[in-house]
Amino acid sequence: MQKKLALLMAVMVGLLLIVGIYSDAPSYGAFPDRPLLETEDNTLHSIGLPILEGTPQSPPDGLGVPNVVTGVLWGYRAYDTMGEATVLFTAVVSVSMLGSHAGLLSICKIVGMTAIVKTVASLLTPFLFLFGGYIIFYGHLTPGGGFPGGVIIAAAMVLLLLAYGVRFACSKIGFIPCELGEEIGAIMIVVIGIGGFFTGTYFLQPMLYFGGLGDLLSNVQMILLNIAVGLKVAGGMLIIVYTLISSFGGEV
Amino acid sequence: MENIFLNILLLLVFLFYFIAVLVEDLLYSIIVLTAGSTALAVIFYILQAPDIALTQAAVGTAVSTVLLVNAVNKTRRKE
Amino acid sequence: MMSLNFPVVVLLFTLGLYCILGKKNIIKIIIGLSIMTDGVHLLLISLGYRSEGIAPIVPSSMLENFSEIAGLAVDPVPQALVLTSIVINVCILALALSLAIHKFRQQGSTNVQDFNNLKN
Repeated sequence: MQKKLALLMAVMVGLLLIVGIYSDAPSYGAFPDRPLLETEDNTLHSIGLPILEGTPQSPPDGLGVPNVVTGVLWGYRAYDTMGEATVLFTAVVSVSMLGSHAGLLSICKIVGMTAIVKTVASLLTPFLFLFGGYIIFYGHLTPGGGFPGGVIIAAAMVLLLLAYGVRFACSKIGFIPCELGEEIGAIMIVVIGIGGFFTGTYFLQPMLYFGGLGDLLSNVQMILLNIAVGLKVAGGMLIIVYTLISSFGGEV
Repeated sequence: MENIFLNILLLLVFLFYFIAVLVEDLLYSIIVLTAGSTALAVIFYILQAPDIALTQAAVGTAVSTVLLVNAVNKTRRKE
Repeated sequence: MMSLNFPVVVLLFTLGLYCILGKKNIIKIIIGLSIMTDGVHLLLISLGYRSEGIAPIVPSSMLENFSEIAGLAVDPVPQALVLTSIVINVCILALALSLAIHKFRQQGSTNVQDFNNLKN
């Protein structure tokens, strides 16, 4: 009975979605013709076009970075991204509250997989760290940024954890460095944001520029913000994984 | 040609997720979900969103799989 | 040839909603939540696609005349939205799973119909 009702409701919502998408939304592949933003001369066009034109321009007019997605994240919507980092902090605090990690880690057995898996994991992990660091540092020039880089660094530690067991991974990068990384990242974002006040601009306004479009140091503040959010995401993900694996009993 | 490849991948994602919902064994369901996530990352790359493809590949294959398998390990495997 | 993006988005969202409403296992419900979120991400990225477009990153061959990027690239705004949404999705997954394991330790069951007492 419950399954039939659920199926009926899901089908009804699906029909509503089909009606909504095919009557109102723009057709697939027609991005600039999407009427969203009304400009001063009463013409309708998408909000993406002024952002695409503005972001690569030299600093007083734009941001001076080639990667427009990172420009939106840390230029036009930087305040929003800072709030999103707070959501990650809240999730870490909630998971740590539900499972107390510190005492239970000592009773975890030292387990691991076979020698083949251990060898491959120990060979792969340094390169994964290097790749995560590259993704973070070049996030304003190439695809990437703080979020993917932090998740890749956390995934490298998860690979080590799966191959060698949770106690070995905690002896390399334990709870304390992860928490330090997360908090240092959060404080770094706020401090960089407040730095905008001293140059006469707004909170989180980009202000450090050296070099032209496409150089590594073209927008130093964006590199610093990417490093901050990379530390924060890597630390937060690692705390969540460690806590969920080492607490709540069961086989570890 | 690109469009045909995209459509095949989209149908593959739906097929994987459909199997993941239907199947009784939770561990099997999680592995099929991971396969769907990987296909979704390739779709994001074809739709010209390389940032999203990187994030989806790292999150969908590594972190969320470990969390879900760990949860199944600490509860029951059968639905 | 017609593109299947929007039909697959509708199917994914419907599948996730059915999984949340119709299943009784709590981990299956969390999997349904993840499927629904993936459908929403695919919808947002598909809305910003431009046919024959390039990624919203100025390539090294276009650094001199970068203003041409506005006539070529896809929409960057939904991509920035989805990038944060994916990370938040993992946070939701971890929090929901830890609540589920916590409930299993107390009640000894993963069936949501056994979770009928407010205390404990």
